Amino acid sequence: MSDSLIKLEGVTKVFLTDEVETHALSGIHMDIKKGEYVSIAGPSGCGKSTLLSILGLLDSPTEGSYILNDRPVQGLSLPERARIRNREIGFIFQSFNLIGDLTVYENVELPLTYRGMPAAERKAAATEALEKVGMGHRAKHLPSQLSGGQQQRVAVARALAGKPAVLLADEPTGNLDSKNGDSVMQLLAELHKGGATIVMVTHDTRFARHADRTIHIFDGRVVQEQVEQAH
Amino acid sequence: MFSDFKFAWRTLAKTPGFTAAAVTVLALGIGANTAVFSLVHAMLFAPPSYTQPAQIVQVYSQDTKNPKSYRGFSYPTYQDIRGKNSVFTAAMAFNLAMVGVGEKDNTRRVFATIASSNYFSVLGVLPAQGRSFLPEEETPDRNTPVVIVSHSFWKKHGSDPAFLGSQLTVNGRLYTVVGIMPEGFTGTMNLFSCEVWLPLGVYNQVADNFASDNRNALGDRTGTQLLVIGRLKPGLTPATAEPAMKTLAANLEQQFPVEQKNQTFQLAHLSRFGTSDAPHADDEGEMAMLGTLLLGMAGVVLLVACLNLANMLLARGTARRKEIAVRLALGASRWRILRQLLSEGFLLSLMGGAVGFIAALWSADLLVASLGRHMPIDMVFQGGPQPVLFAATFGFCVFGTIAFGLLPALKLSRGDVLADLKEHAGEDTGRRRWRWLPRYPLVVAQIALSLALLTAATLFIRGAGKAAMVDTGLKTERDFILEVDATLGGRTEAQSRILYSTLESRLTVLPGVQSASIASTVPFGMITLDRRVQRAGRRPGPDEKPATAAEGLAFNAYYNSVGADYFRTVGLPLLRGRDFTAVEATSEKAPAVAIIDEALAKKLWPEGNALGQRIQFAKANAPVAKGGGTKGVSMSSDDAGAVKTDDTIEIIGIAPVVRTDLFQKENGSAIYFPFAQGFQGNVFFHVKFASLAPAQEAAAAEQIRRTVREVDATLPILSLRTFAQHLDANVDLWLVRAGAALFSVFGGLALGLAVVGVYGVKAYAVARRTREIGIRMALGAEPSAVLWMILREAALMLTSGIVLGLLLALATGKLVSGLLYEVGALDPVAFTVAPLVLAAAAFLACYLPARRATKISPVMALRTE
Repeated sequence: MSDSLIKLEGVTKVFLTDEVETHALSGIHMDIKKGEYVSIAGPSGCGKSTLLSILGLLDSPTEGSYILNDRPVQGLSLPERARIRNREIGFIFQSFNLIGDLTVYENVELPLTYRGMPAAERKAAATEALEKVGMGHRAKHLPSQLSGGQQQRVAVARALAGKPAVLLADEPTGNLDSKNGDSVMQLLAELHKGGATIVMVTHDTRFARHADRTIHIFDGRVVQEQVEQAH
Repeated sequence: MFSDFKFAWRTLAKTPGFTAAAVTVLALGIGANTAVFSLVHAMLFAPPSYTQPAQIVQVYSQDTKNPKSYRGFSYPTYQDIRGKNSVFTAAMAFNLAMVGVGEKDNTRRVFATIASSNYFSVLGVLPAQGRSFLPEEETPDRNTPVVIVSHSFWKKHGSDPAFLGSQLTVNGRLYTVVGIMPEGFTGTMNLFSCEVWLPLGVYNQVADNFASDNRNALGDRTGTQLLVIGRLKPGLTPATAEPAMKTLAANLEQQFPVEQKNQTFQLAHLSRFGTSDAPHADDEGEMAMLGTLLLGMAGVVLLVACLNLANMLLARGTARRKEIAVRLALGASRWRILRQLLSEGFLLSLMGGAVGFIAALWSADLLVASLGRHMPIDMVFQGGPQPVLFAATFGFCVFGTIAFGLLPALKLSRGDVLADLKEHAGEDTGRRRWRWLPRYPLVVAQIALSLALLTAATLFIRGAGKAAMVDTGLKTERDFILEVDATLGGRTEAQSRILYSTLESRLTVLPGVQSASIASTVPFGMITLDRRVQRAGRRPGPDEKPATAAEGLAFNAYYNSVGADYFRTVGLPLLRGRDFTAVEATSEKAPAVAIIDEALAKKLWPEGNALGQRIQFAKANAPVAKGGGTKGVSMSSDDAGAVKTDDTIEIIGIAPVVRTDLFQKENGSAIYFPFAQGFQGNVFFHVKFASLAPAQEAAAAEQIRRTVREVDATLPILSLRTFAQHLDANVDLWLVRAGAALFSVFGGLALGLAVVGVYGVKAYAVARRTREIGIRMALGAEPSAVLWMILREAALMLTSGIVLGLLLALATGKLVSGLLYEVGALDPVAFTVAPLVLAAAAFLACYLPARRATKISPVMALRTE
């Protein structure tokens, strides 16, 4: 068993639109170790979100291989991919993506229900995750009753609740003001210190510096890898 | 306002799919209502074809000793009323008869009105071409062969301009066409009309002989053949005019103490549908109930359509929240937004109404034409666009706009500007207050209403199924029925007897024929006859109240005079006793004998064997037990055939019980006479073949037809068909089938609309929740979990609708129970099949969008921001 959590080899993603081929990703090689905090940076349209979708098993590569936790996952069926997403991956989206008519607690509990976890365990896990992000007191609120920063904290709690192997964050501060953005970045840093593996897409170099390593992507290729200085 | 409609038009044109769906839904709803309204209007509300109907009243002759008893008038009494009354500007007399009209090589039986010369002038409608009858033409036995025809009769003859003045064969005699009535004239009734009018002077030649009233000569003061109608003087009403008529009746009673004994006069407006010597308020009540029911059904369809459209508008409106929010932000008032949205709704209604109007005209004509083919009387239905239908359709459009447009418009115009400008269009931003309730109450209501209609439709279909399988008790699979009436060709009774006897003999020996027999009536025929019978030797007076047959209680019985081979031919072997002999069947002088059925035998001799006992016809005023008999012509017992009231009749056989009409409340109570002792002009010949495959039917019919021509080339064949075809053409069966068809159409429409509604709502819900479904899938929801989530919500919606619908269906079942044929209001089959059909169709409608939801790409879904 290796210490590599995510391993991409020659991953290519081609979109076909009106018979026009768009190469979103071209021959991506990437190796992310357990407990690592990696930031993926690059200008808008460079392919970072596509890469994150492939990492999160929301999308499949056109070519290449993807090994997650020592298991090849690029050719799995839809239900198998859903099961892995549920157990191994936690998502944090730019626009929070909380479900509007579920309470904070129900939003956090939601991925655990898909796992078939008993209610008592779900309650414990969801409460713990909410406490961890400092939102335990807002459990019965609806997302619309929270500020943007608070909603993103809830989204982080939801990603954490199932104790996934990796947290994938897509521009987690994109919809937040700088104060709330800093606060969320602080939260991710604390989670990393606690042992979480985090892969974060961002175009903000300030936040990229929070990571151990930054992978720069341009036109669908990895153009530079930069190890951040200890912070 | 114009700019609202202009913008509404542009908005609807931008979404042609939605507009087409909405117009279709509305066209179905409004079209169904307009079609039903046009029929109900014609039945219940359209003015009669005669002028100033408030002045037209019928005079009824009531028995003062027995107020429920009414009778007609003799011609002399009519003349007295006409000459001595002080309340009418004019009074006329008429009656109905069935006559045979020669058309090419055939004779068609049509309803005729035999009328006094002033019939048309009293009704205020004169012939469109030609003239009315002349005063001298109404004199009894004057026999001037003139005829006036209806517009539709003229139309059936090619609207030939030379038709006026031409010759028409009526009952074998040539009549000159002297007048053609205007289009739409239906005489004294609505919707139904005679095809020809004959002068009273020919009454004794053409009156039917199946009703006893017609047996007296017209000029005889004891007769009761005529109905009298008068036009009241201006300012008078039936109530204010009646005292004077009662005085006149009293004077006539003094003058003619025998003929007018215990008779007084009543006045009442005419029945819309019937022609009778007694006031018939019930007919209109039943029609009103039927009309209300039809309108109610159509109303439910419109309501379902409106609920459907309201849902579509709500769904569409949610997507327009941003647009509305922008308008509100720019300063539009709520009323302005409301007006805009209602304008769109009204425009949709008008488009749906226009399509529905055309469909309604077509379907109403189709329905009337279908009914007309089964009716023995001409149906005059004024179809086509009429102002009242335009007004009704416009009313339905306005109702529709309010029903489907107001709620979405109010909801949308109340939007939260700030939130709507910011939020994801259409997504829930808060928790629903009553989460345990179904998400779409309008769809629940649709399902409930549709289930009620569908259950009612299933009840009617079950009834039609049972009616189609009705067991007559006869074995007639290989039987043909030939209907002829020698008297229509002008033959005397004696000539007709010989002719029928010859024909029966010839038919019996035809190749392949097993047996043949004459009969005066046929079960499930247009006319059935009743007689009242009692044990011989006891005649209680009208004031006595006998409780049993032994005390002289009389019983109504279905009456049929038949040939010697009748029971063998119709497959009805006698239970006890013997058949009629050939002598009994053909000789008027043979001893009076009868065969009764088991049911009548048990009524007359409940304690013992009726065979060999003697019975007699009861007098007209004899106490009669309830039930028995048929809904057909009732013959009074002072007449009819060779057997007189004072004769006693020996019971020589007991026959099994048969069913004689579809709506017979209790099977049985029948009495059969030898044909010779119960002659009728209009007769049926049952012809049983040894084998009769469908392919042989045409040849068999031709064989019979040829035989009739050989016996008498001039004998009119009124119908010739297999017994199965005879049953199939039964008017009652048509009514049951038409009821089932109507309810099926309405039920089907409601089901279709509900399924479309369910599909639309679920498809919209899936589209609206695409991002949410994407989030769930990103969080690890498997496709099956997404499918289950959508179906679980649908199941709640369907279950709520079905539970509510079953309650409505119970109420509907009770409401229509009186119109059902041998099906209980809570028929378990209907209450199982209808919900299952609805649930299956609605579930499928939910499954398609739910399955689509499982195909949502989470990546694409999460991009819908």
